[in-house]
Amino acid sequence: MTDDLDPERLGRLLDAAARLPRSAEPNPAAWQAIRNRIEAQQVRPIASSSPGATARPRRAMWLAAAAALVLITASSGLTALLLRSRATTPTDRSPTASLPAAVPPAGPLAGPLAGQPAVPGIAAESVRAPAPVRGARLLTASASPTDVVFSRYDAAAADLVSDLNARRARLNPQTVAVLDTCLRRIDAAIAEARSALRADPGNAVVSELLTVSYKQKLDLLKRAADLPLGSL
Amino acid sequence: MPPSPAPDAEPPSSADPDTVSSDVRQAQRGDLAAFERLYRAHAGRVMAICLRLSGERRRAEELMQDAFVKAWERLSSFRGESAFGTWLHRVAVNVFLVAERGDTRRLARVGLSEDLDELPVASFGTSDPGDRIDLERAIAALPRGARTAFVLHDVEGYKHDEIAAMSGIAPATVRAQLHRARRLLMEALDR
Repeated sequence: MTDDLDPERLGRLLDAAARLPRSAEPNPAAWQAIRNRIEAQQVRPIASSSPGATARPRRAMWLAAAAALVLITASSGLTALLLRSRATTPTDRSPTASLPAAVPPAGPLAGPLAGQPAVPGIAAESVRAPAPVRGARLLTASASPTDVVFSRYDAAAADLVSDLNARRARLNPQTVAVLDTCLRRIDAAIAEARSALRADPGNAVVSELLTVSYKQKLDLLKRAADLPLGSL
Repeated sequence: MPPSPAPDAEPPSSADPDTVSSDVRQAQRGDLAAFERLYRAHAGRVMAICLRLSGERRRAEELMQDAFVKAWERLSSFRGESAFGTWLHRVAVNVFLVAERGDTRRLARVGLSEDLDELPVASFGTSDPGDRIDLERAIAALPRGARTAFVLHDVEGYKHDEIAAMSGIAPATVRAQLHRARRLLMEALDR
């Protein structure tokens, strides 16, 4: 692999790399921030000897939930406003005429990208569904770039949901309930934004809201994937 | 070609090993003051790896905080089979890799070269000042995957297989990224 690299120059490079300094001064306030996080989240070393030491950052989960709800509220409100605004324009009488290519149903993972209506319970269904097959959902040849982009989010989320499904029995039921509620609401927000985007494909605001919603979902799922088993 | 340094090759801190062991045991029992002493002894090294891997100061600060919070959470899993600094270093690398994996928010890196001013400048080249370049800046300018492979392999001394396992990618991909990083850095030297 290094055959085409000049040995002498490579040697100098590696020598310089080995001599790079191994220490950098952190922000003086960093420890206080770490301490605050540990104390605020009631984080304790897992399986330490103190009673209740197995408590994980439940507060972090609630904060994530709160953040998700704030986002969803804002997203839904804006989307509704945009849709209402659009509904008053003459060109909107046949909104389906401007819809991007339809995305076929998702198979076992029934999610917002499958073009399903934005109803509560979608996320719960998707979370409880059997593990989806990566890339199982096919896009038509005429799928828009937006569909392709969000299908990647969907695939990433499906992987994480699959992980969560595999672990949920060993996680704290209270936490799982919070996760399910958040995911259900985020999925509803995604479905709503998705619907709005179909009605107005060029709307950058809705597109951004959809992107943010997906990021929120992935962030929440990544946090869930990071929860140690049996530690809650 | 000089051998790559092993992660253990450089002392993670100047702290006395017995003191570190004592602090670890106390911290494992929930003693935050002991954990603060561990932080003081190891923060510089953790910050350096976070800064070098991420290429930006603010991100590095976040990663370092995440690493120490994670270390606190996982402290009971530290069995003393390696030096505490080595274990902590690996926690930091894992925090970075997990954060970067699928993190589309970080695709656009901002303020890169300025942030690397935080690190002491290491020069590449001969005694001729005209040949010297800021290696840190060149590393920071690498594409993310190449930078990660170079920093972990050629700077920190991890093996291809270790990087592959931690990153969730194939060893061949690590080798390809490393080769790319070396080639790009050598090209940078010619400019």
